[in-house]
Amino acid sequence: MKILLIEDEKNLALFVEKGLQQAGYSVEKTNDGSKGMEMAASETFDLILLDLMLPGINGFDLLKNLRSFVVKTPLIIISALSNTEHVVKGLDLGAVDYIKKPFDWDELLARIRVIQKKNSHNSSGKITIEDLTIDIIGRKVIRAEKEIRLTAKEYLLLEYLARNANRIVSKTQIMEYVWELDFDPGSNIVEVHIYQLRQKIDKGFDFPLIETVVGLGYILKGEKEINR
Amino acid sequence: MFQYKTLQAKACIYFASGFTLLWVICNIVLYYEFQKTIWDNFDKQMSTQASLILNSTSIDPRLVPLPQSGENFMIVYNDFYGTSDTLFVPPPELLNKLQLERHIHLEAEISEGKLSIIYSIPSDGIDKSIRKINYIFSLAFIVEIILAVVIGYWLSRKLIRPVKNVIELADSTDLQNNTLLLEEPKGKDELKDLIMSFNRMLLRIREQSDLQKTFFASASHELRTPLSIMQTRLQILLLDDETTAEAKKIYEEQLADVKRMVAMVNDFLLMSELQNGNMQVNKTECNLSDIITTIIARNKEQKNNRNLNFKISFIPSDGSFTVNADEDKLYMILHNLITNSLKYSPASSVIEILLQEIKKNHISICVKNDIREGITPKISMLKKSFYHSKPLKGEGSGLGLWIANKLSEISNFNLAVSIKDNTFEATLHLWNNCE
Repeated sequence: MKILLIEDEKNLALFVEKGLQQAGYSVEKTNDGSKGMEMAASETFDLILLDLMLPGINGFDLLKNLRSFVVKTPLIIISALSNTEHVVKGLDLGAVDYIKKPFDWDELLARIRVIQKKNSHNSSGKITIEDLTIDIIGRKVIRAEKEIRLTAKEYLLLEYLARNANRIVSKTQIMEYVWELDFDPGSNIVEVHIYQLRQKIDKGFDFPLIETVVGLGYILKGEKEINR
Repeated sequence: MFQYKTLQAKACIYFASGFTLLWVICNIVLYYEFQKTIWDNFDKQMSTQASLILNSTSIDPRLVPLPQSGENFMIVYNDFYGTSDTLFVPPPELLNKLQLERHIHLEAEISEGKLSIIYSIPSDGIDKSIRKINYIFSLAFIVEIILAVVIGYWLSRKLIRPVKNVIELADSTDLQNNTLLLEEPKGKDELKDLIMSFNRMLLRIREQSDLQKTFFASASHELRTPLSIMQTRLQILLLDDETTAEAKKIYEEQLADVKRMVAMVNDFLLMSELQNGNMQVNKTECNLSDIITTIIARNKEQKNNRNLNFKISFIPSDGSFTVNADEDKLYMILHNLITNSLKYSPASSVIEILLQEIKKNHISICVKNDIREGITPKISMLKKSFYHSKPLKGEGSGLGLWIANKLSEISNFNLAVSIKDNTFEATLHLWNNCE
């Protein structure tokens, strides 16, 4: 993955470049906003990491200009400006993510990996169960030709049930996959999310897909097909 | 009696009262003048009739005119020697009436001596007229009061309207969205002066607000950037295979210190922003479960180090747990509550988080934990800034609950804390005012 780093703080840019190279990425950096815009428009990158407070050109203006030149490279803003209005503005202008400084290194790497995963698939991955289709890459869910909007956790839950279709999955397994946490057995977070998912996936359709297996967990039943 | 607080009501009352008082004074004077005129005319009439009767009376021959219908009189003759002789006296019942009713007393000199007459006629007609005038004045008074109130109300509304416009515009002033200045009226009166002063004040406030925003942006950048460099540098060095074990130990301690400093800088910057009233609220749909589980996931290390567990309950399980709120601020409030529970719970205990849909558009989030040994917080001090119940070594600035409370106020939420039987409870009430 080739990353363009636009950061005016030389020391920070140096260490970020080093860390990304250690993680296996190819990095080009610049501390000048105008130069960075030129590079982004003329070369091909898989990801741009952009600071906002740049000399010469404001990061928001740079982003606006890139998008107006139809440069579709995914862009993550990394900035010490942490107000909601800055975050909202950045995302509205076309950034895919916004990381506040000082940031946790592992978190930056995790967010880069998410983008890498999306970029690396050439064909779409789909799981189809009966009349339900889940587009793994695009995170789209369609049932009976009707698109269903899910929250991030609802999508993860459905994807987990779908990947384990026709198998019973326990509450604990669901908690570990969806939330990567184990909660106290008295928690009903899984029940609540299953209910909310059922309201969107099963309610109003000809037949339910999600079933409860009392004492054991949940199961998504139906004829399964996977397209890679 | 209720109090009138508005200028318009006061102006209306003052006008109506003043007008009514003036009216009453004029009417009283008018009424007495009317009455006096009527009685004077009546007396003149009686005087004329009495004179006529005296002129028609003679002693020698004795001649006395008889009373006409309604007339009642008594004539007495006094000669020059003081002898008195009653020439005409009415019957006893009429004589009594003569003394009681309104009458006049006239005297006339004649060649034989002096004649005097006591004369009266019924005044029923006059009394009736005066009563009629009373009714008219009373009716006019009621009409006047109504008119005074109506005119007073209309006048005060007309006068106060420009002031109300200024108030409405002032209330709608939102410096975050660059509100327009007030439009100056054409006249050259005090109202124009008021609006011009207000506009100058708005400009000064906007200037200060812009300066503050610039300051916070700069302070944020200048403080956070070097910390970011240190944190990133240390994290990269820790991942570097060439770093020795001894060096890694030092870097880990330094990283922990840097992270603490980052947290403190964030708290202080936030505190300054809150104290300056500079915060904007940007509402979006927030999933409470996602926010809470994200916070827990980001503090997984502390959770696992102290062997803590979370019990998350939703009541009812088919309720709605999304709110329309500023996600950033909501995250900070819940982050403070949950990280406090991680710090102050005994090891290997369970922290309870209860999300309850109390009614439509009202959700509460309760974070409940036992208090670890040695910590004795004072409930009245918890929301005060810089209060540590017992300073945990190197942890926190003491601003957590203060910040959470202030952010709740800005977001129109309510944060309540309580301690009972060594259990700490923080409950955040959220109202879902969707626009």
